[in-house]
Amino acid sequence: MSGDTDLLSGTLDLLILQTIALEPMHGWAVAQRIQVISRDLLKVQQGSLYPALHRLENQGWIQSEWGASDNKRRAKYYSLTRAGKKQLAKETLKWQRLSSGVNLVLGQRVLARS
Amino acid sequence: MRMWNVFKTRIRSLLLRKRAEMELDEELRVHIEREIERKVKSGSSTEDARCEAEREFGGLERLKEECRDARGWQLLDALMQDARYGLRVLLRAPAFLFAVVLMLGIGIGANTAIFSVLNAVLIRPLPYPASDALVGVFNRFVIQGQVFEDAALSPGMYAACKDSASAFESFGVWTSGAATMTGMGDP
Repeated sequence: MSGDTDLLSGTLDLLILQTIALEPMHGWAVAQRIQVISRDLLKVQQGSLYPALHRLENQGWIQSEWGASDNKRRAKYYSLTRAGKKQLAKETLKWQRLSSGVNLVLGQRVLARS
Repeated sequence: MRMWNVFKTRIRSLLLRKRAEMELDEELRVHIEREIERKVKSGSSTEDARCEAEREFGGLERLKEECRDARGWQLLDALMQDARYGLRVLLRAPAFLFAVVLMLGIGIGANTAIFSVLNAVLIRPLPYPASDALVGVFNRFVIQGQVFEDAALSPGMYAACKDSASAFESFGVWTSGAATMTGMGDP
């Protein structure tokens, strides 16, 4: 993650799982997709993307396969495993709880000021 | 299922280290190529794009190291390195190595010797028939408040005990003593 959008640890895993859940993808596409969908708010840096991918694979949440990409070049495609789907659901719930909690606290501050 | 996948990944990374390493190289190379293409499409020169893409990667070697870490290869690597290092250090100091081996040898030998004695004396059953039914009876009496433990047994008392001790199948006596052997032959 870069600059002022430093992500909480574990959030990158969640983003990767969610992105791969849509369709099998190679690393570069994952980074692009996250950047595009987040309207450039989130920029995944290679320095954290690949270690995260390998870690997720090592944990059995995603699996990889070499395949031909759009212009017939080889690329390593990652896809979600069944355990990965469960993990994604779990992580999503966790994130929603965390973010709504933080929002509530911040909202209160705004209310208290006004 | 998940365990199986994890197992497969680990085994593969262990057995096919070279291949896994090549795949990692290629995976990162593919990424750089894509990034260059994207930058060229958005108007930079090929040279600029390459420089920028490589810079964005940061240290390539460090990144690879982190990927290896994430796969858990590092543990075995470190273990092997430590073992090799230990061996080298030991070989460089043969006197120390000799002392260590000797000490360990004596230690293990002494332990084994003591244990074999203890095992024969205390742990293994006595070499008598029905040794688990064997009990010891000790002579203890009190005269005017003074207690005598393990007192000697007179022949008369032995005879009386042998006749009246109906709780036991049979009754015998033993005594302990020391003797000095000075030569062969009948005493």
